[in-house]
Amino acid sequence: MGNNTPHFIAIDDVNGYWFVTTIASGYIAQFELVTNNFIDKIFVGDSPALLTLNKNDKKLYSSRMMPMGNMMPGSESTIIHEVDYSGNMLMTLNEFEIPSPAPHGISINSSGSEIYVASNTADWIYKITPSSGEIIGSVMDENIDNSPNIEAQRLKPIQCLSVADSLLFVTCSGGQWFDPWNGDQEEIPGQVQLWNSNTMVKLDTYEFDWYSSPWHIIDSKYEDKVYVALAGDGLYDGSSGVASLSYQNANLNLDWFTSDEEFETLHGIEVSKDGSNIYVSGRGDGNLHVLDNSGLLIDSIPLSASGDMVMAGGIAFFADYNQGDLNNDELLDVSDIILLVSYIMGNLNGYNNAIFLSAGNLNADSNIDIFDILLLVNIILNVN
Amino acid sequence: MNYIALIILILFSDLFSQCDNNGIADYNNDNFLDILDMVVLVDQIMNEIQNTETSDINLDGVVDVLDVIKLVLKILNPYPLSSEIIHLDYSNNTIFLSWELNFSPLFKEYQILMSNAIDNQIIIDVIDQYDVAELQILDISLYQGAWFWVNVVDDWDCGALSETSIIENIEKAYELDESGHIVFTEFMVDDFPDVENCEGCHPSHVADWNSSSHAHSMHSPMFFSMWNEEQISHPETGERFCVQCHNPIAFLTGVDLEGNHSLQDLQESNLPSQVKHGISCSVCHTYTAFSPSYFADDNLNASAEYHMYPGENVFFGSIENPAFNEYHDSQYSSMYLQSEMCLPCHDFIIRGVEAEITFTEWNRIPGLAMSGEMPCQECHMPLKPDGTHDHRFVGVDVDLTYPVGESPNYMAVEELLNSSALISFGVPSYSLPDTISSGDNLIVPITIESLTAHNLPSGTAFNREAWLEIVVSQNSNNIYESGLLASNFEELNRSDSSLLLFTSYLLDENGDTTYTSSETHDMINETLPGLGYRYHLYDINVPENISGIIDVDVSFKFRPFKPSVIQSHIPDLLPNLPVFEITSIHQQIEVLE
Repeated sequence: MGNNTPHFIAIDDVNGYWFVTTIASGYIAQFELVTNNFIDKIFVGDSPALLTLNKNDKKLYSSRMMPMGNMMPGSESTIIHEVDYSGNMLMTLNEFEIPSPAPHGISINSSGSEIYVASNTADWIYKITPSSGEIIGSVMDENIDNSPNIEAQRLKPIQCLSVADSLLFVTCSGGQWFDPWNGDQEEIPGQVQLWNSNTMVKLDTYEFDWYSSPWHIIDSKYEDKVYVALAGDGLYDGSSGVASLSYQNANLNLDWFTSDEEFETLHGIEVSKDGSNIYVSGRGDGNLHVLDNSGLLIDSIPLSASGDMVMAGGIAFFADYNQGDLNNDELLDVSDIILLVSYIMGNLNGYNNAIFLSAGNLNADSNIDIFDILLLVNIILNVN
Repeated sequence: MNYIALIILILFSDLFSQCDNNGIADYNNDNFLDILDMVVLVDQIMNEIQNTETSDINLDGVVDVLDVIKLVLKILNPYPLSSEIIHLDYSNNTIFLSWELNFSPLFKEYQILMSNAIDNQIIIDVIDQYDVAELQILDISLYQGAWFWVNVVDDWDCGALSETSIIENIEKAYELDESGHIVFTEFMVDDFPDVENCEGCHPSHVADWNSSSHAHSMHSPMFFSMWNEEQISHPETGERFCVQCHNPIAFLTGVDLEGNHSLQDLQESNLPSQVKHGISCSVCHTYTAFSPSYFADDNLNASAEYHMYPGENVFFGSIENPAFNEYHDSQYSSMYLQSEMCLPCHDFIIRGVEAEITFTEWNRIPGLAMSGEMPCQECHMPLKPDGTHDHRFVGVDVDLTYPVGESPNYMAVEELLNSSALISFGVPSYSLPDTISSGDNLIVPITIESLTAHNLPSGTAFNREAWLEIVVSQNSNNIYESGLLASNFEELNRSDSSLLLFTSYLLDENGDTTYTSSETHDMINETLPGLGYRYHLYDINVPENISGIIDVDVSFKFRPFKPSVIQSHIPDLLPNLPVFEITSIHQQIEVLE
């Protein structure tokens, strides 16, 4: 199992870094995106799990793992770490303690002013305002209405996703629920909940089968849709798949669901930069599955020749920097020129050299200089 | 204007960019071979500069027009053409590979690449003749699936990679008929070395295994009794139904075990010793891929899937860099660290009823399913001080032919159970009071927290029981009790409404309880989920005549068999039935007059 047990990768393609959490050792590590050079690590303790990034201010937020039993480091911490990566080292800025255990799902709004966290065991969601430290919580399961410290473990929220700064999607694994008071068992549908992130009021819920296990979720980017990886259940054929949910007018509707006999315990999900392709990792089948945005399975790429032993988990998409596209927004424009000029003038503290060596050296000589600026200007003028 | 010309020139050059990475003829070091380099080369020739280090492109010792021609060819053909694999085969330790001939003008060599994972591609051969487009690799042991490519490389070391060809996972095949009997198999009994062959070098592993339930799979008198019953009730399928998991070697090789009604019959038979040994070393250590869960339909035909490659003198395990030995090849496989290794046998569904689904119980805990953490091996094959894994496969079963406490793994089972759950006084909104008045009702709140990554009990949970025993007493006089047994094989008092019992019940087609999994049509599951909680309240009337200190003793108990199961098969074993204490708590309360 190793001593670190890496769990989740987050990519900052604007600033050129990637980060990984290590559940067993309690660290977050930072690497250069282009070179994979290690930069720094920081101890946050107690099973750090998912990450969400404020790329503008170069801050990251880490959540905690759900219960892993007594053989793993406990995930008893209820603290969300705010870590600064604007310098050459990682530094803890704040620790936000929420009132529920196992704060696992985590997301951030576009400006970085709000962080959303879901407790996997208490079925509560929280909005954290880092600037003020304010924390607002809501119970997710109105049937139980448990207090935040009570681990209802009915919905089992997994991942949060903030979209358009007003909508918050939360996937909930659901499954067989055991009532701790009387031992009764109930089948809780796997579901995606849609919340108004301004008011923290639930807007809608889309329910799948109880054995569907919706895990990770991603925004489609160009349409009012989200894509969800359903892990499914090995005892139910066709339960593992990918679903597209539309959310027009704050109503969740199933757009399509794709399954395949090869799908087994689908886990991570990502979308290509242009929104045309969806990438899904098959933890159980050892493939990287590629679907188009209509749900058609295009390809299943084995990650080893003996597929099922790979345990493919999280997935992160990184579109390589195009020449001159220094902010990696797939546009060559004046913002790239400003970045290039600033870099040459030495005004970009904390910026990643590797990006400029890769995408800023347009004439492929040994220097990044005025000739590269001229070349970039010329390309932009010709393109436009 | 000059800048624009320069920009245009550079942009134009980009059209002719290649993967040139060896610097030949790249005079301006711009990583492109283009007209600028051509000008320099021509200039060198015109001025009779014999710079052979960078300009003798065809390596003939002279810088001349032939080098110019080659550079032109390179500029016009930045990449070589690819050659696709036509045929790929692996048999008898020989790989045969053929591919399309390649006519790229700057052809240098074919590189044959192989990989079994996405990050470890290696070159296994290089052929520098364009008209040799096949390869035979003799004496190669390929134990798991592998990818192959042909990479056509030109003089500038630019490559063109073929599409991937794959040799599927290496395993032996077998086919079953409708009753679960072998109709075709590549498995031979002698493919599976006997335990004695392993013992010389692995004495501690074999010693571990000897005391395990895997070794006991064809020794247990309870097994023989149940198996005999199964063969009587289902003559067509009964023998294979149990054998498919209890004796994979017999199942895969088609060795018929009918007529062996007891351990004595089996031991005295002429059957190969491997078959007599149940689930032995060579069964698990020849797995090359995972099996799915076992689904039994109404026909009860054996249909377990095994993906194995025995008989090739290679054994797989979890040691990443196994030491060389003269006796067999050793291969690392990460499979051996994963819960899926315990399939197909530890996940059994019959007629759609989730009768014995230990793997699925683990897999339904999201944190574990996502990360693969806390796999079966972590608790049931823990690392020993010498760095090897415990092969006793300690679970909750003990050898019932021994008196209580004397079976080989009794202490280990007890130790494992001690780590399986916690109990504490108190539940949300209730705590145990320090004092109470005579005649009042004492509420004893108990929380049970499972530390186990599957249900408790699991596996044949319908045979097992875990329950709370509570005794409230004063000076050894019991005021209240629940779950208290006079003997280990006394039945629990199911009419006690306060009894907290974790178990399951298989139901036959009439809805009656059955202990025979093949009769299952439904089930009632009252087990404690993995890593789950259970709250329980005892409402106890404290008699008026009691005052002073009273003791509250609560313990969480477990026994691997319900007495009725043993009673219905081999009653003589009942005295050997152990009851384990998982954990216990105690508190005193003052009763006020």
